Amino acid sequence: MKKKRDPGSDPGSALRRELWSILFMYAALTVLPLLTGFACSGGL
Amino acid sequence: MRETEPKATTLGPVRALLIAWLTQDLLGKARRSGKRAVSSLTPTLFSQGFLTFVFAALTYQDVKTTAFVAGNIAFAIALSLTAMLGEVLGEDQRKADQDFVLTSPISAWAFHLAKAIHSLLLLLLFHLGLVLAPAILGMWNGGFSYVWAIPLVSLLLVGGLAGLLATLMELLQKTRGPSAVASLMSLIQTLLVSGLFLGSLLGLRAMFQGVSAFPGGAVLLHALPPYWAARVADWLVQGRAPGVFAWLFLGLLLLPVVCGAIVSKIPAQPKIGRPRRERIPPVASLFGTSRADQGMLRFTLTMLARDRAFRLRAIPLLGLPVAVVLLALHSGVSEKEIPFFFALVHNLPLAWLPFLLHFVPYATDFEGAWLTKIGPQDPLLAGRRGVLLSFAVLMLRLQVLLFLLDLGFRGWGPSLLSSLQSLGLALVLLPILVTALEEVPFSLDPADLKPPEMGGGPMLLAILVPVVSMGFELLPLFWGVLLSVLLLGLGRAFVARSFHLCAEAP
Repeated sequence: MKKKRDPGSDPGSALRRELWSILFMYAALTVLPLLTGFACSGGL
Repeated sequence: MRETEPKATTLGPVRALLIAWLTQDLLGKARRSGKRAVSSLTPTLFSQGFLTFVFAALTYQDVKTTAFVAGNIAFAIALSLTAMLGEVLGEDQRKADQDFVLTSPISAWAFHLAKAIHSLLLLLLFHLGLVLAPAILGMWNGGFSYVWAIPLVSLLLVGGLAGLLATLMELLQKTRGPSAVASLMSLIQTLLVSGLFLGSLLGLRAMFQGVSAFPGGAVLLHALPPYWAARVADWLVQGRAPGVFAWLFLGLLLLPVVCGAIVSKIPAQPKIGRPRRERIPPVASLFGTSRADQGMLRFTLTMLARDRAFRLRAIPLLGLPVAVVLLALHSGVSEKEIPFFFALVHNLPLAWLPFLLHFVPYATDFEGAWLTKIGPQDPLLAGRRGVLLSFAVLMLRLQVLLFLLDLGFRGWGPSLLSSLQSLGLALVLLPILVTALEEVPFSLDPADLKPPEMGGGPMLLAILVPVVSMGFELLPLFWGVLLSVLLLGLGRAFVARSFHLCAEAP
């Protein structure tokens, strides 16, 4: 029988999800200037 | 049975504290309002990160590398400190620590270690998002190595400055109590908001035209920490000798450590001053107030002046109009434009009023609202009446002050016209504006604060009020003063008889 997961058993899971979403923001904030730099200067 | 043991018991004290504090910081607000895990940090991070990207994109071409690095670091640090000042060094967490953490069997060493890691982690997590765009665009400006040098010096600098601020807050907390901390934080936020607006406009010009285009010139710019950080970045990447700036930078990083060690030795003995008795301002009688009105006026003025939540949120808002005035003065207003400039200055308080009114229902001591709730009047109406009278009195005082300042520039006639007109318009509009208050003043927990709406009515007012006052400036002096006196009389009658107006729904 599959055991029901206790929601309080891993206090860091919501936090981990939040940190992943922050990492996703970092990725978005990295891509924007990269595209701008390449588009306006034609490479490094 | 081993599998059923709760996992939480295996966490070390430092890790447990970090998880609890970070969950509280990132998800606490959403969870308190009953929502599922929705962070407030992520959207703020993106919106502010986008601002730094725009600033960096505007400046990464045609600007010298040192100026680019210094300007972008200054912009990102001002944004970070403004956003994080209330969060990292917040009062609520201090209370929670006193009640729960300090009474638990955790060693002082573990507590301080967790506290330091938590503050730094949150600040760096946020600040890193803000410096990513300048770092990447820095590659095209100065070379590939700036991609790591800019974040490194910027993170060190923001850590040092935040540490210095935290030490200063700790010192004030120990010697003067939490009110002094709230006052200093609101003052620093005001300076940051006005400095950010002014500095980014003046800084942009100086980045393209050279340091002499900045007020204070090279002397002032070289005395600012972002310039020291830029010189250290140049040294790390290009090997250009930073001279005294490297030592200044290092000193700034070590200063919080030294000051923190000294402050930790100071015993906590906050001096609590004797409460002063708030007088009813004599000018209140101008508006024909009853005894009940006078009571509400005294209560509202006391709360506006003393409540930490209002001070912390309302005073930084004043940074932007102050910056506008300073910028206009610096840009050298021509003689022809002076009447319009003063018309704007006299009316800025009224244009800004809807934003200040938004914060009136929130108070640190929100339980104090029972004072109005047990009265014989409807609490919301009585509250609106108190707020109306308080802001009428404050507007009157402010316009007298502006009149005295204006007198030196334009003489009696024009300054009297502007003051009378601005006060009259404010008194006419105030009874309508206070109907936007939908909650009893000082009755809501600041933790549940809803952000103010920046569009619609407030923006329309902010545009219309200066336009109306400029129309008055165009009139011949006699007619202008006459109309202003009529407006003032109308406004006084509105405020004196506004009890029923306050009852109307917005």
